[in-house]
Amino acid sequence: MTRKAWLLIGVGLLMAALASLVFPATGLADLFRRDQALLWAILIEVRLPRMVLALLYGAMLGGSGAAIQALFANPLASPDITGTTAGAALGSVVTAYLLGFASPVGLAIGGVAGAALALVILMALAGTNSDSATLLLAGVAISAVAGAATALALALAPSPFAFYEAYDWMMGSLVDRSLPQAGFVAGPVVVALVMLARKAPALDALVLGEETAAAMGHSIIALRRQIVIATTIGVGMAVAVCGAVGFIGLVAPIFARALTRGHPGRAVLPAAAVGAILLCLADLVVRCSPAGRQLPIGVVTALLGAPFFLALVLRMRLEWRA
Amino acid sequence: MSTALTARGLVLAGRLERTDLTLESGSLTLLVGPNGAGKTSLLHRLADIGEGEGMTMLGGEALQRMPPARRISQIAFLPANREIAWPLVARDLVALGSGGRANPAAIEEALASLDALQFADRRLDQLSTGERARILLARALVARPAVLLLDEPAAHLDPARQIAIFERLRIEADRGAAVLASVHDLALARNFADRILVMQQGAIIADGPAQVALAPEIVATVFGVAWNDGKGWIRVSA
Repeated sequence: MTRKAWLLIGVGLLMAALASLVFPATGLADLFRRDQALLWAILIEVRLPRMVLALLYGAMLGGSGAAIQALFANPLASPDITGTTAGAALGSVVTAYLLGFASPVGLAIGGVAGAALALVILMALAGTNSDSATLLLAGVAISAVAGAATALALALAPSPFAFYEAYDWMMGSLVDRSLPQAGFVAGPVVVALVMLARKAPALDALVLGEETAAAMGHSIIALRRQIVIATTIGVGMAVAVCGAVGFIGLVAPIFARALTRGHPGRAVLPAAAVGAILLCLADLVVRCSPAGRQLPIGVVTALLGAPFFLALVLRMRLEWRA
Repeated sequence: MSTALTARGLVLAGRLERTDLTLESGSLTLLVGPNGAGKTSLLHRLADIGEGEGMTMLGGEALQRMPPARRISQIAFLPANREIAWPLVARDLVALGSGGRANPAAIEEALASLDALQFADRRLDQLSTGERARILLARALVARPAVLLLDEPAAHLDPARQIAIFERLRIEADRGAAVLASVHDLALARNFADRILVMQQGAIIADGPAQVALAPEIVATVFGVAWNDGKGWIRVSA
């Protein structure tokens, strides 16, 4: 990637982060004159954790999306399309409402376990290097089962408010999150992203096929294992705190590969940066939506991301026909 | 000539019987045998790909313990499958053969030696089978490895292009590489090989220069064919 592209991404990240603190700006100037203590409280206690979580979660989705796409040699793979986020949401819901461990650590363990289960089932169903149809079918099946199981878990939950409360996990939310929560997610996400970024050369070698990558000294089994571990830890933790957010993991790698001349491995870090920017912007849309009702962030990313997904499917159909 | 590769105890259950093999620097060895004879399995075991047993020594060092950065200059493997999932620019794909570290002069030379410069800036999905075969071969050659293992480098190519591929491999052998390639065309094998390995049911059953390894009785037993000057290859009962 050129220095100019990195600069572009860096500036984008900075602007998205700043915008996340400043907007919506209505009343901020007034507050600055009247009550600076309250202004700082809003910025540090309310907006900062939200910005940090949006950046971390977006980066995790983008980075893991790029790595999973490179591993499966398929631009349609991503944590949400393949059912990983749905699995994590199921894990969190079951842990909180059926097992009764609603502590952050309990939720996180549940989320990671759910994500791991979903990815392992995906590998068993589709294998790596599978064609798009198999991968998508396996992902749809896992998402459907996880969604149904989540609804079942909520229906069986002792709390009558379970459905209402769990809305966050199913649609995603960055509302009312605290700095400790953001710090709780930061460690695992950073570790997971470093793990994925270190695999960039192996993922690029995988472009030449599994045989050639193996002959070049990249252990395919180890590569697969590390990407699954990094993705389940990072995505599982993030979902446990912020719920399931779709389409960032699908769309961010597309932009990133445009910056890396199509190389899927070296697109992992740029995809993380693009994912962070996209989720920040999606959260801005949520916060600037008409007063009274806030849209769930998962709905915003789906509305903005779905057209990309449809375009990808359409392009593949046209290629098959050609 | 010096020994470039020594392999001991190569085994792949059900595919490859216990095999030992030595390859000399500066020689072009061609691997022939019917479908399912174990040619790909032998190449895989030599290149440390996938499951199985055995040890491959390159210049006194075990391939199995060699890190990726060193392997690139020691050994290159070209698979029979030419499907590439990501539509990279051809030149970028060749660069992957040098481990991502840009070496523009070597890339240019590899492309030029295969007459591939004129389509090097096109994307892989826009290339014909023959053009793609040349780009993938350039990828295997770009780091100038001491040992080249190629699985059917001439498959699906027209006769002139098949000959061109083996002429290019001859040049690699002449610069000092140990080249081992599998091939189905016995006439090509006879014309280009310093040494021929004949495989049948997971074992090397003949090894030597063409006139020995491809003697008519061996060809008849292994392949069930004989050469007829008027008709080409004809079927015979083994």
